[in-house]
Amino acid sequence: MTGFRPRGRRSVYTAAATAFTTGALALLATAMTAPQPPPTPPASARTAPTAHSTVPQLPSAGLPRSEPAVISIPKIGLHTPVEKVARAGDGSIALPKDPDHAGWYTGSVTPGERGNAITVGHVDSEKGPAAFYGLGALRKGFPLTVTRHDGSTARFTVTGIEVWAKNAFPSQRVYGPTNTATLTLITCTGWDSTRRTYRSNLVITAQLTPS
Amino acid sequence: MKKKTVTSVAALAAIASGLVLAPTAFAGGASHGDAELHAMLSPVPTSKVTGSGTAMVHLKGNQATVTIKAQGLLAGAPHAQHFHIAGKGQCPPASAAKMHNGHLSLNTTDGLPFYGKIGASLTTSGDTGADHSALAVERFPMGASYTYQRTITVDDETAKELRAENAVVVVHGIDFNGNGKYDNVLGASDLDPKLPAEATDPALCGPLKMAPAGAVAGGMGGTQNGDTIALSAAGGLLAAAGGALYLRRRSSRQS
Repeated sequence: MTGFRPRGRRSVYTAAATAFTTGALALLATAMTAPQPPPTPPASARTAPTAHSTVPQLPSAGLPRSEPAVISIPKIGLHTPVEKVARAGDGSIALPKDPDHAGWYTGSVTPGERGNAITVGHVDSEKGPAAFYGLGALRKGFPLTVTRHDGSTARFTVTGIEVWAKNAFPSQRVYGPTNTATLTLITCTGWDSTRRTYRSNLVITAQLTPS
Repeated sequence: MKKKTVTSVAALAAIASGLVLAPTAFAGGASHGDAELHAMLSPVPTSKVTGSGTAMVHLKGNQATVTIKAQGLLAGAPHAQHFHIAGKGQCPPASAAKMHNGHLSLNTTDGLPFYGKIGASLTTSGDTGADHSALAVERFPMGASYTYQRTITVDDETAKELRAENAVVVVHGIDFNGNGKYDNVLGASDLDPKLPAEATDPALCGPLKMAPAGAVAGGMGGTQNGDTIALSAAGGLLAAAGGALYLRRRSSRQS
């Protein structure tokens, strides 16, 4: 008669529904602010192991040796300190300890010197975007710079964008010495949502811009 | 025996550092003894050479596949080229130069403490030994620019020194006085008095270093929750709609 019990039960339901709705909305908000997958490289970057470069190698004196400090690519908002990396136990290039840093492979020449200067970086960490997150947005012709410990700046222009499957990676082609002052940047791409891993490497090459 | 030990130690190290996920690259690296070495070739100081080059060596057992690209050398002349081994694995600095026929320059002997003795002669055909082919001028590449590729068998010491990163590629033959030919401006060769020093003096040099192998592991997936997030977003949307509906019905019944 008083309707006390139903009313009480109803208020419990109401509270539960309110809490549930709030929770659901929070989930929605999370989904909308969670880190987005990195930009994808152009379709032309997809490569087969048989593909071969026909870029002529012109002689270039390059800059004197000086280790890299910072890589900047203003067009994609990239500005990352560079740390030194060596080879890992399996012979591959080790990644920088700090995912927000790029790694310069110390077995290669310094960026700006004649030869193939090799840098690597994470596309993402376990938490979100990392140093080389934006590399997929690079296109041929984009400028990038490396400031070096001697205070000089090496200016490069992107000349190559390639995606290679990790299980068919052309090591000699990517890591081989070049007669020009070349900068190679490598990160992961090709997310496999089933295996929850990246299947490929994105390989960007850039040539020292004549000053 | 020794190889086995190395393999198992390497295997242990790989397991310890969680690298067992790359068995292919690993097996290729250790059990077959494959090694990939690269070198940048730069002008030897005081040689007046302005050329450059690159070298790649793929070593499988004692089989070395050698690729050398050189440019900016004296045209129309043969260029002896060798693996030098068992020195310091370095190219000589300018301070190693001595006076030769009144000119400060670096002959092959002056560089020995840095790049070491000849381990193999990188000839275009026939023998590649250190002794018999070191100055086989008729079997070396010719010209200002060339690409050399050949698979040769190296002796055990040279294979060992290559793997130890203690081998250096040296390309010989300079034009110190810029007259377009090898002559006696620097006197006779320290290696063969019948040849001019210019013909055998080191021109380009580069230490061979182990190259990286395989792809890099440059991502952990922290930006790839797209699938699960999309699902929960859809779920959240449904649930929110359901909850809101209940609340609306509830409030309309009350009024």
